[in-house]
Amino acid sequence: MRAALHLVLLLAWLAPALLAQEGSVTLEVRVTSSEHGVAWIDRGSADGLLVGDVVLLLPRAGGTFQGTLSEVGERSAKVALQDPAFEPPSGTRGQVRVPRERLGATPAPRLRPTPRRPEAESPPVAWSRPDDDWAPGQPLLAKVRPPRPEERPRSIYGRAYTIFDYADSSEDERTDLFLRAGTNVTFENAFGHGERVLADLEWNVRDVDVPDQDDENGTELRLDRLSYAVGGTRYEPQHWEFGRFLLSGMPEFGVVDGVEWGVRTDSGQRFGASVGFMPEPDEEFQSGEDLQFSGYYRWVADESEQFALAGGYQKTFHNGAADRDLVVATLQRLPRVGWTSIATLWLDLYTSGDDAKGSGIGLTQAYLSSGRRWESGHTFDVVYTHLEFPELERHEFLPVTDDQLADDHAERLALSLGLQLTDDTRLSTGVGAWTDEDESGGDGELTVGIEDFLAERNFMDLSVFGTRGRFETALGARFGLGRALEQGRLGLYYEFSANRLDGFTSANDDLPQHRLRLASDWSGWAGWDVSARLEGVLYDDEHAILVGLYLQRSF
Amino acid sequence: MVPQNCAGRLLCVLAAFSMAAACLTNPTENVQQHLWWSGLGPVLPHESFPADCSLCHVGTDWQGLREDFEFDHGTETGVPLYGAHASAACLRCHNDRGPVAVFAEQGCAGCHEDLHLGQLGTDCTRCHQEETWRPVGQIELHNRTRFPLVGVHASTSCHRCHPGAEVGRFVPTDTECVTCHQNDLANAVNPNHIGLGWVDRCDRCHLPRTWQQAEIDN
Repeated sequence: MRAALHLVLLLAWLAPALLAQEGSVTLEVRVTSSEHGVAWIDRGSADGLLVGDVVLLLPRAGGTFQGTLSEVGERSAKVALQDPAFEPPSGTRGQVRVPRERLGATPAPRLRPTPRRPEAESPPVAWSRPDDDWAPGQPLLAKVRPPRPEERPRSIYGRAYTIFDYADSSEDERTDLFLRAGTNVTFENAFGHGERVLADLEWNVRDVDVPDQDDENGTELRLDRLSYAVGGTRYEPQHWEFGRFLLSGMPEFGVVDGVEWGVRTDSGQRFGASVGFMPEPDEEFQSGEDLQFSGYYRWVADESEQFALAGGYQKTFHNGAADRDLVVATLQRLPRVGWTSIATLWLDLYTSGDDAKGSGIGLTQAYLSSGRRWESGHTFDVVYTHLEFPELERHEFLPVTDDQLADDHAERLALSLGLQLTDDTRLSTGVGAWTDEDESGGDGELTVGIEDFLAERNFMDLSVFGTRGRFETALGARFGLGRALEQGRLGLYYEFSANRLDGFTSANDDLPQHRLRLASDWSGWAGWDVSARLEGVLYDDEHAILVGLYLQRSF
Repeated sequence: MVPQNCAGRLLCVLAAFSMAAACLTNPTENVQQHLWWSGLGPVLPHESFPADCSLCHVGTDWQGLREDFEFDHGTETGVPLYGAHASAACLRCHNDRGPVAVFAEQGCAGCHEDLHLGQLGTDCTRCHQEETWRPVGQIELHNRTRFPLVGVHASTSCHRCHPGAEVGRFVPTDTECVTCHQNDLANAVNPNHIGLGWVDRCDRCHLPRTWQQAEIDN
């Protein structure tokens, strides 16, 4: 009875406020400037504001500050802040509650009197003047002419980096040092034609000592990209690119030293062609032996490009002799919500001159994947891959025999499932199965990841895994513990795996392995991105120490 | 053209079935697109921005931004930016080369070059991180291949087996020992491996612990 009385009193007290809420609207405002207990906002009498209205300011840093309108102009107003020490930064959000009838009181636009129809009336004239570039969906007022690429200021952005990796193994003092330093730079509107000049350069130093005669020492300066690109924008649908670059229309065809032309139609279809030499895909990236011609067509269902099919053909010549006929076909189904699917097929067209493969169509490579991300954080992915060696004159991989060209293949199917159990806890599982020309195997892994583990900003990962590879069977577990820092993270990871070498004929076929890694990453630390790691590997009676450092400066 | 062994065919059929099911089970959508191609407005939709342009812009052509300009991408758009994306210039993603929503749906490859040529899929975050793009966790990832990295292989440079590693090419790679250890085979003279016909299945006598020691079951 007493509770009911309290409820009635509470409702009676709240009723006027609730009714007032019903009869008012909340107006969003922004602070345009402020000084010494006074702020100006971007709304005024045209929006229904009056002197005396209360303003609540909600700065991004948190908190709520109150003020009262002291002066009101048509499109702006002055706020006297309750706390004179508070100076809200420009852009701070705010709210004003305005009675609904005040909005309705704004004067209606004056209507012109309807002209009287003349006695002798001529037939009505149809409106023939086109609306100036107006289309449905465009705001009726305040048309903005966006700047064209050639009107934008010149700008340079990119990054410079250095990477140091060193490994020292107990096996006869095996060491492996690899130092890389590089930069990639994009120069937008470099010469005032809206173009882009791209440069990507890397310097490598390698010093490998191994306990045989296979040492490796050397320095390389490699030009990964240097190109001039123009067009390919909404104002210029034709795209041209010259120099050394990755083909943009069909990147599966690789990097070329040459020229590419492409077009995008109004409906989103794309097609294009290219010619150029293909650098060999190794650390030297030398060019001049392999010439390619290619063309592609990409069909999209509509402007959103959520469903696309593409096909391309590439013909290559190695030192002037016909080499590869490659067809690439892709499918993309990328809806905003729902299942996504991606498929890419690499098909080689062989002729009677291809002794190892024989004439016909060969499926050299396939990549098929489907997956879904749910709003709850759950994820599911399935990926299938197929891989064979293509028969090539070009040097693309370590030499293999004709038998391997004819027989070797590998298929793999992998499923991944991620469950967001709570806001902080995630369960991830992955299973895979593979088969090749000789054997079959598979793998499985189960991981529990916990954010804010024991203390805020800590994280913990615990995994168990098993794998059946071509040469070994392994069971193991992995544990990671770390902390998210202000601009990065610090983590300590340990892994143990019990490996059994399947083909080893002796009884001594077990190889336990321990790995311990300390790793840290900082992003934007004094303008630098830094990643460092120290790792120890202990396997049987041997061990190795690995050190890695990555420094990057973006500009 | 299709895998010839039974297990391969089974994997292929399962994959094709999954893709077909995924394509057919999607709901019909009606998602509003930013009218990028129609030549309308700036590359960033400004409809929800404050009326006072000088809050963000300086100058007379509205191209420059104030020095104290801040934009909380997560709060304002519902798409938070992490790592290097948080400090990238707006025009890197929002530009005249395409609507950003279309790029974003294509994943990393929508904006970034796929220097792996599509061979490694579209989920870059399996290997890369947004802070520095430095690949991490390769040993762990290798556990899910035909060739888990054990012993000395776990401390060997990638390019010793993947000669295209520096330019992003990792496949195809042969898993036979002699493909990478050709020089070791040629130099193995005590006993003379080639003379004895020991030119394959190195794993019968050698462990991936040290190449110098071998063990034969007598």
